[in-house]
Amino acid sequence: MGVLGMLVRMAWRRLRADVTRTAFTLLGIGLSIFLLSSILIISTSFTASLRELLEEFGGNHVYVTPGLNPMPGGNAHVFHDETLRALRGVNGVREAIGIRLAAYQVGVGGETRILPVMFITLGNPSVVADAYKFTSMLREGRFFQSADEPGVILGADAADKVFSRPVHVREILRVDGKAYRVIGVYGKLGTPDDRNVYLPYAVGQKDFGIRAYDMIDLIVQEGVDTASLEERVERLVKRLEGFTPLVLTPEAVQEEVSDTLGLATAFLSMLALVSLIISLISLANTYLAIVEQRRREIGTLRALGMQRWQLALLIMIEAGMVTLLALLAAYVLSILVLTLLTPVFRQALPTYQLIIPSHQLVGIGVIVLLAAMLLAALPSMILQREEIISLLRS
Amino acid sequence: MLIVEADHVWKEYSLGEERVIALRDVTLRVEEGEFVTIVGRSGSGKSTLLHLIGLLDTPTRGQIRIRGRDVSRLPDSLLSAYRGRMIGFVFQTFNLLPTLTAWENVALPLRIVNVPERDVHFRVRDALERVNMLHRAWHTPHRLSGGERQRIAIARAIVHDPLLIVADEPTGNLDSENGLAIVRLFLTLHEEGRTILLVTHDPDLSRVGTRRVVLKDGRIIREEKLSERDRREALRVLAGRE
Repeated sequence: MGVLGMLVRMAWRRLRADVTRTAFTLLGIGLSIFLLSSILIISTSFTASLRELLEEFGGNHVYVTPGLNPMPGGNAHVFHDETLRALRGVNGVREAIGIRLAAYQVGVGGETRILPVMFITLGNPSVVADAYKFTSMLREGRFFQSADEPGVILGADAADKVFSRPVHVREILRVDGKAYRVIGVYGKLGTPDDRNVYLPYAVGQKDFGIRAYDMIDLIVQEGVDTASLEERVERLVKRLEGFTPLVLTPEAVQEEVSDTLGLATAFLSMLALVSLIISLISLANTYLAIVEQRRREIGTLRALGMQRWQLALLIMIEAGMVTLLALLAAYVLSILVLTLLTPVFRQALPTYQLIIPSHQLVGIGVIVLLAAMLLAALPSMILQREEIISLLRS
Repeated sequence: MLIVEADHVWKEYSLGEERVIALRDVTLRVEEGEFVTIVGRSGSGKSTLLHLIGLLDTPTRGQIRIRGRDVSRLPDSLLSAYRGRMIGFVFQTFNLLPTLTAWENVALPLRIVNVPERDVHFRVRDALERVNMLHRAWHTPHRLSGGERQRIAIARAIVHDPLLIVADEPTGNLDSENGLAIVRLFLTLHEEGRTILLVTHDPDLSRVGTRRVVLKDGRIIREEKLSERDRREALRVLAGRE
């Protein structure tokens, strides 16, 4: 068994002897670790799933917007036809799609709602459909077949949730009083676009008098140097429109998403970390009380020849055991809870899948374990400075 | 052979701003195989002397020598090693670890110094047999009587075959019947050749050893060798208390 085996056994007996204290200590540390590990797992899962969604949706898209707001309609400036045509001629650009977003009254039967209507140019509908993977994302009907086809495609929520009943292909939808037949319905994307009504830009020009774009989506060729393309697009738009646009490359979009998620994760992790630190401090406090209670026992062990480091190790092992149990329980619980919550997260992000960052979890575990052991050992080290006689007389 | 020697030892304490002299120039030598009892009233310094000889405390002045080596200024780690290997303690309040079984309590001094597990097994078994407690080996202290606890404590004090057994009022917390049984156990250990230093405030108990040292106000005021007759008489008196 040796010294270490004896210390482990003594520590284990101590934990079992005071079940209430052990349970509360476990609960305190376990809950903090549960929070921290859950935040880490959610953040990792969402980041990876969003990246996958972005790649699926268009890893070859470069978005050009007139200002800092990447959403259509969110800026003072707009793009005009000349710019769109010029962008189509930029080396490395396969197609440029002009987008206009506006809100209109949309009606089915006797019901009317205000919905976002997205007008998109369809220079070559098959290229656009292919680029957006729109065909594969349609759950019902088809994509536009010509650039000026007077039909609408609905986002999943626009079809299912806006009106009192689901809207299907071949029904008539009125946009600002004008009647269009529904030719397709998208599957759920888990983005705000799910509420959109899609119409060809040419129809928008004719029926709604729209003359400018809020955003231009460039479909670029495989392997194009996006940094150089960004520069060329900026120069061209500056020359034609008189302002420098915001050019969002796939990498920039991914970075933006990661940054936003990272910021949220950092904030939440900070809160969890504070709670963990509080738990660890209370662990040290608990052990301060424990070693005070066990003064005579410590004195006896010292009288029997136990070295100071062996005593410190005994307390460290005891705290380490509680922390290890808390870590394991917290990890198992967070994985279990997040597995159960996966269907809920999938409603918000269809590509969501649970990813367990095992390396980070092990890293956090090791750090927490060491911190707990050191903090718990401190009171015993302080106590050991006392004379054995005074410990024995306690 | 000289086992332990306190040479012109002084011990002073601070009690708030007051200095208390617990021992004044005490010299005591314990030979191998002796059974020395130290007797004195409360505050006479007898426990302080025992603690110094047991290496639980260090003298303010003077030397404590074990087998001729001065151990009074050794660093803590070496003192712990000396205590663990050369001294066996028996306390008035037994001082058994409540979460460990009797067997594990007895095994503690061996495991602290990393004795191989097979030896631990034989030596613990032997120690428990000597104190007639093998049948209670797997009980925790709270399931044992006071007398049984002290027997376990004595087994713990002899298991590592120390040079010296120091006992601080070993019968102080026991009734007279159990007290007498413990005294007889000490006598048996002494007959087996062990060296014992026992502190007591009980004049009758102090006569069961081979030599008696009387302390008063921190000084040795008398030392006397005890005869076999003295010891038998002391035992008879102790037995009469039952």
